[in-house]
Amino acid sequence: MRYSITDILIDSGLDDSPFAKRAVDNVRRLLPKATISTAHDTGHLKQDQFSKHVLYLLAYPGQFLKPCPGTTEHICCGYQILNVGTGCPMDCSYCILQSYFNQPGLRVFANIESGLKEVLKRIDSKPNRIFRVGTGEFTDSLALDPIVGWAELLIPYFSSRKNAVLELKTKTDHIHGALSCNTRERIIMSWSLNSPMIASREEHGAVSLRRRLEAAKSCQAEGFAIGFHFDPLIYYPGWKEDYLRTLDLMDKVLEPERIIWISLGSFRFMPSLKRIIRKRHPNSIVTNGEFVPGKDGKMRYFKPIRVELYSFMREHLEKWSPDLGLYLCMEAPDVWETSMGWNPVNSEGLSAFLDERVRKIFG
Amino acid sequence: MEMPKIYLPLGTLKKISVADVLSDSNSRQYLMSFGFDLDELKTSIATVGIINPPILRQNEGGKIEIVTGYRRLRAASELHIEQVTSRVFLHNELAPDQALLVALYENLSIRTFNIIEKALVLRNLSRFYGKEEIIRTYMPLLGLPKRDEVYRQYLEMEKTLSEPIKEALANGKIQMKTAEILLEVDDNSREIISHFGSALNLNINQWHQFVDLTVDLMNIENRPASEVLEEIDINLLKPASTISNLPQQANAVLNFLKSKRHPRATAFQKQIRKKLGKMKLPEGARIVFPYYAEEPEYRLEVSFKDGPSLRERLLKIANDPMLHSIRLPLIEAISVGQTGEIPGK
Ligand code: SF4
Repeated sequence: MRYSITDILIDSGLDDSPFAKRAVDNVRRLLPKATISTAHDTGHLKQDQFSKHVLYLLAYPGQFLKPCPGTTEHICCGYQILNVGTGCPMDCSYCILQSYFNQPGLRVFANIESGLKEVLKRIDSKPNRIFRVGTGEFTDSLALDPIVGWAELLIPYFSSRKNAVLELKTKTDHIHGALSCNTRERIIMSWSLNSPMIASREEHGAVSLRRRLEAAKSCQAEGFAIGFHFDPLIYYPGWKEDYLRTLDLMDKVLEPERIIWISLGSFRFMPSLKRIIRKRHPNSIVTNGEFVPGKDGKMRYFKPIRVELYSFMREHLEKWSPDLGLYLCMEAPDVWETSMGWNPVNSEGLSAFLDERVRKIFG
Repeated sequence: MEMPKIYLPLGTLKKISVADVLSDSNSRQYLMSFGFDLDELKTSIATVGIINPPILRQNEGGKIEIVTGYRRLRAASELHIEQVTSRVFLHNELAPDQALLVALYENLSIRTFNIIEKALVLRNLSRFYGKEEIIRTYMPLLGLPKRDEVYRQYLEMEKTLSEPIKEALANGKIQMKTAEILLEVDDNSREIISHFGSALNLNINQWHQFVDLTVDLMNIENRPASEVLEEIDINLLKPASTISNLPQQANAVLNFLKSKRHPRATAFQKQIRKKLGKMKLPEGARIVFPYYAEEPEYRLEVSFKDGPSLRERLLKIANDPMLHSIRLPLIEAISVGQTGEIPGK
């Protein structure tokens, strides 16, 4: 992946932290032209809200572990987000991060190690609960890994816990850090997938589907559990043939083994994102579908279209393997019932299903 | 925050010809007023005269520039007052950037700016100050967030939008978010949309829907506004149309655009309305269906006087032969003919 980072900015007080030092060493090696400065020295930096040129290493003042913000109207998976940073060096047209106005640049929380102590204390205090933790909500889990070394840092902490799993979700092939760890226990390496057309036309900066799947294959061969996320599914002329091409590629590259789950989610967005997408990505087709407003204020495809997308994906994925842990992301019970043939009833039901998948794969 | 400090001298009080000042378009370079109503001001001036004299600046060439008081001068002109006593500053007493700040602070002290006026202020400031300084120092004064994106948007709006749209914005007839969508399209399409919308006399929400739907369709069909709206012309607005009244016409246009933008949802709504319409509901009862099938249930509303009348109405509903044919909203929605895929670019 090619970075467009030209400036690294380190919060004063953090420049001596091992995390920041490691990142600076990696930047010097990978991006020798990038300038490195401390936070009181920001005058020359552009503050463009969409800028991907500046990487900030700063301290996160809040709680590092938070539940995924679900809505009451939809069934949520009960995921916990480990907030390692915000912003992403890639530039998918549909990315929700584009509407987070107040945080320009790429922000990585360099106090993660001290934050982790709190997080692990919380996890350890509830031994009977399974914590499904992911870092890929406000950033891509591995996009900055060659610089900041998240995988190597986080994997050992989670591998040693029986009541947690860590999912690293990406559109890159940055698996070197994870592979160099000497444990695979309770780690899920996962990839966001889409149709080849959407991947090449809308997921700017992401690696090709083939490279994602090759990376998944390497991780699978190295003993990692793997996951996939078809999210956001996009409805457009020829979508069926296109998504089938991705499924064919999966079949060619991978064995359907140790796949912990595959999620399906259709494109949804706050209305304000539509303008941003049209302005930043004038050739994008993602806002073209028949979207209607939901009770949570988000726009979603008209329900029968969602059902069509999910039913089709389910039918063909199940042909590949009946044991893929298919689930829907943020959907209503009637959509579940109609497209998946069963219905977890509520978020607790879906959490129980996913916890069971964890037990099945990791014991 | 470091603010420039201006110590304004008294200037010279002079009687100035209103017509001369107003007829010179160069005199309005500090103007921050847009879309105003002069009636109240005229009443005040007619009663007590101009209490606060306008501030004028005489530039190097001897021409008069209006720093503050443009509205007062306009009102005076409409009242046929030929001369107005003003505070006049020579060019070396009041530099142009100082004149602008005087205008800004005087306006800020007596009123709030509308959207277009804020855009005018930002444009004026950009003649003298850099972007960073305007964003940092002046945008908060105008009640705007300190964001580059917002700054650019206001300047673009001031430069690009047509007068009728600016007026509608200033008078609160259209929302900022509607204008933002208009900025996305080419000049010609913007003109056509503005013209069409104005002719329909839309209210604030209808304006937004109209612009949003039209621009969506332009994007989806990859056609200019002229072609998208041409179909409406033919279908709904031809002279022989029976729809003569404007509100109905506005609704008809919006419904037409909605049915194009949301073909499946519209077909669902039509089908479900037809089905429910076949039920013989008792007086005071109605069934509300989820408009986009997002909610999983219908809602029955029944008004009644007492227990027996409720019973009677519920029994009538329960025995309606159409009842068995009403299925889950989602199933109804799926059963509506799948009109195929949405056209892409
Ligand atoms: S990879 Fe994810 S976080 Fe990065 S731009 Fe794409 S959608 Fe956003």
